[in-house]
Amino acid sequence: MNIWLRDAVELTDDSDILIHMGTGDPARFDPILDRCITGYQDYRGILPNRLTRGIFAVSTFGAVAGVSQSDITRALKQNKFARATYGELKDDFEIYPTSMDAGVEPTVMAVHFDIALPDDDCTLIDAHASDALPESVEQFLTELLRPRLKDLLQRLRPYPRLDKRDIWPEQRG
Amino acid sequence: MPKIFVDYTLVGHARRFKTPVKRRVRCELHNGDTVVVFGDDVPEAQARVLHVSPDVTDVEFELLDV
Repeated sequence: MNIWLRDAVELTDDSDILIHMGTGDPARFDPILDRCITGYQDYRGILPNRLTRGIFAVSTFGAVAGVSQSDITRALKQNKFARATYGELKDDFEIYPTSMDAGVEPTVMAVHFDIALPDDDCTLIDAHASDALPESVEQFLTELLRPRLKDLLQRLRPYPRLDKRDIWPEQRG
Repeated sequence: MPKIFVDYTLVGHARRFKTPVKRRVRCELHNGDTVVVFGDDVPEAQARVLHVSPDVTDVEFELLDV
């Protein structure tokens, strides 16, 4: 997948960052982490502070640059979303303004941000294709990253869609 | 039928899309195959493999039943 870093960070401390919350169920973390690991190599060479490294990235979108929260949720298939402000996350997570040639409509992809899960400087060297790792390495990385993903998601607040459907099952009446 | 995880956060409502697939799974796929794609919080769906190569991480799919 072609990924590129946008020129400017459009986020301010008060900017809302939205993430889909299908991942809110810890039992369903592993496919998400699997995707983070497989995509690691796509980020090599594009991040100025990690020229020889990739990131274990979680996709999010910023409600900035004229793109509203409802624009973002309408562009995605998921029903559950959560949010935090950039100011609430920036001290503990590296957040990169990235775009890629995926299917999401261009206006929304223009406000895509990758959150890098902290990796303790764990690096997959160039010889390691992250889409073809030994299962033991995949398992190690999954165990490393699972609590980091959980930590990220626990910082988020529910975000109701504009169609008034609450995002959390316990809030549905 | 193979089941392929798709990060729908990047796909949105697109019918045709590329998504990374592990090499060992790619090696089992062929152009024209029908697979099941699934994502977090999105129902399973059938998709056709439009383009797959063992040497390219991204596989292109087209959703069939949406």
